[in-house]
Amino acid sequence: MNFPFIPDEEDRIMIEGYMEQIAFLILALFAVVGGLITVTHRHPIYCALGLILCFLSISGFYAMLGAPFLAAVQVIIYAGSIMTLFVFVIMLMDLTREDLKMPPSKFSTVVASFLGFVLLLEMLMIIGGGFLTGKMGSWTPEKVDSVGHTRVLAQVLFTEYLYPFEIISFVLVVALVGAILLGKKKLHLGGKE
Amino acid sequence: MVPLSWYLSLSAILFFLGVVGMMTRRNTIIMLMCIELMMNAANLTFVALSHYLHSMNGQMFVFFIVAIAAAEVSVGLAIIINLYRLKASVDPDDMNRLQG
Repeated sequence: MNFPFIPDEEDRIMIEGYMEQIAFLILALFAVVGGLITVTHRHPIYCALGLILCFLSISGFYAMLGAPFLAAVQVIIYAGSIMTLFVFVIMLMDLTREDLKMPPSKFSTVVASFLGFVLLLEMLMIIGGGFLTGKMGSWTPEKVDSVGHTRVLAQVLFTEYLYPFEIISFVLVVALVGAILLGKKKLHLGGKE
Repeated sequence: MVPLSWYLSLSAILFFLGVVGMMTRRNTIIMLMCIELMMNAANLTFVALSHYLHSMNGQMFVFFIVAIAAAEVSVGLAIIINLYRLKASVDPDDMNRLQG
């Protein structure tokens, strides 16, 4: 290596690749730790906080994968509104010590973890098999960058996926009405009083 | 460049955590959180594959899944609140009116 070290184009790409891998590993650590807290912690509030940590690191992955709009959506909708909903419901519940005890039977936990490990092993074997291929699309990262990710997403959403978009708005209205109906103090689902 | 298999392995691990939490925890709120965790693992797979296959379809699916997740959580939490009012408990084992 020459001294003083002046990175040429090839070195620059290599260093950027390493930086990306380091960023991936750090974010992956946060995501897995958040998931572990969610699954193992006794108190639901800490589980919710762990899940928020996991969601924020997943939004970092979206940013790394060239989808900044989805990263923003992840932060705003998942970490912002959905988890707020969870935290509010946990606070409404007024859970006592009795509710927070962990499952007494250790046997079912062991069996469930074993089955989960089998599933994980199967998924990792499929990934390691290396036959995950697909038809290449036309949206190369350079093309997306030149147009702008949000603009590309909007173009695809309002042309190719227009009907699903309309249906999703209907689904959201139904969910809104359903949540209000279910959240009312006295629930009368038809029938006599 | 991060290899595609790293992303897929990570989402497999997150999905595994969600599945194990779903099976071991006895608290309906945490079970719902585990469903969210599994959904996010699937979303990560979608976005990673859509990036590496130069396609926009995966990202559109993530967009719709986020909307569906918002709807699902609002209705699911409303149901959990109703069950809590009925049984004063969040343990799914207590909800045995249908003798399941």
